[in-house]
Amino acid sequence: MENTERYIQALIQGEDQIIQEIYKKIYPKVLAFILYNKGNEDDALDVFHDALMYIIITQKEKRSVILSFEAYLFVICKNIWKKNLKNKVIQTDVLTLEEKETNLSAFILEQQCFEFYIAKFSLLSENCKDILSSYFNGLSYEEITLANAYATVNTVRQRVFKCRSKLIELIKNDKEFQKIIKWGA
Amino acid sequence: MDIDTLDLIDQYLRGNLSDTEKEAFEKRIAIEEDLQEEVLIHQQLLAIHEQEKISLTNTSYQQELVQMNEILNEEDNAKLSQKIRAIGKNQQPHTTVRFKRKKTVNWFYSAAASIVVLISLFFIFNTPKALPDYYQNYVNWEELPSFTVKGDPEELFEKGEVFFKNKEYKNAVATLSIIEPEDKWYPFALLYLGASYDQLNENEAAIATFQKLASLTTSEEYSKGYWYQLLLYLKTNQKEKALEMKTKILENPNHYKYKEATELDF
Repeated sequence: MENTERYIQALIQGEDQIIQEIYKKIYPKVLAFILYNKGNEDDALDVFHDALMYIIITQKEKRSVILSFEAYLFVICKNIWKKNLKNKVIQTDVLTLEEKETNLSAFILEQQCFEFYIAKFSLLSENCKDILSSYFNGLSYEEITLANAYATVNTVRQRVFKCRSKLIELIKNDKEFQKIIKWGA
Repeated sequence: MDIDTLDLIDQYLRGNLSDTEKEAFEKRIAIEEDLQEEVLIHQQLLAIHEQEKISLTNTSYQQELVQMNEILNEEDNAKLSQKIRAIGKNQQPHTTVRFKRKKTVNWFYSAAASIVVLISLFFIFNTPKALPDYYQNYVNWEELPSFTVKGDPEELFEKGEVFFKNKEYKNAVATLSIIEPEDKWYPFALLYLGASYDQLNENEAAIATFQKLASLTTSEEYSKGYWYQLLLYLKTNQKEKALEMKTKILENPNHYKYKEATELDF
């Protein structure tokens, strides 16, 4: 947690030494992940750069609680790379800096949206998180009943409804939602 | 929102409604604002759970995208971006490599059975010496067991070993760091990882790696963690810690390099 604050502050201030420390500590793992997942060193450098820029832009706008900087940065890198891999299917040419920037902007907006929903989901009870995870992952009410030893399918249906209503309430009561709803409507 | 509408939204988004049901439901969506919101939220929650791209494509979103581009181009952010790229370039290892996903480790046991541990030559001096000299005399990374098996050229562990042997230590570190503690290869990966850090002169990282190895008491390799920590402590002139490791090794005659440890007289 202490390091997290130090790293974020240093990124925003552009402190060379600490940015180098971040690279030294975390970049080898990201490089390994990307090499292992059909990428090369240039891809890894782009992804790491974009992830750091994502943290700078979003944390400048609004500071959020990040428990582990390393884990957070790694997840952001993984998400950027997953998005890039999907784009690569249709895009074979080398991207210009401008195109890279537009991709980064799109990623920032998408990831902000993603983190908003995840934050709301994390406020639910453990039971609600479990049952809604199963539900959104495509399990039927019957399958959830069997897997969790619920009495009847109707009990599960009612429980999903209540948990989902709670989640919707949490989402709609946050003013951030007004921005996100405009993007998708 | 009632429970039946929730089921309807879910069926609609999963594509389980008939054409007639779909048409009727879309008419409702078009006129009911609340329902529009519920469908959008449900769609995005489904996308998140299925790890799909969240669909954001309308005019509002496009405007936001333009604004985000402008933010990225603001002077201070553009400078930070350039600085991060410049620091990143200095991290770049020299060789570009590609991996295929590891297929199987079934050959591990047969390879492990054929390990030949090379015994290095040792020079025992009677005259007082500087601790790093002991390190120089004893360090011999060629002793590490080899798992290179013909026919499995893409195996991850092998890649790490090959990088190490080719003196591409940064790539070796990058590769071997992927191997997880629950993997059968983990103790051997730690050996090569620690050796790579040593070669990169990242002594603290090397010691930390061998400490991890020494903690794996269920692995036959664990006592090597003591020996290599001892060497690293000698290299970095940490006499007290080196003595601590020597004592550890001498606790059990089965420990790796027990005999050599008895002969060390620093």
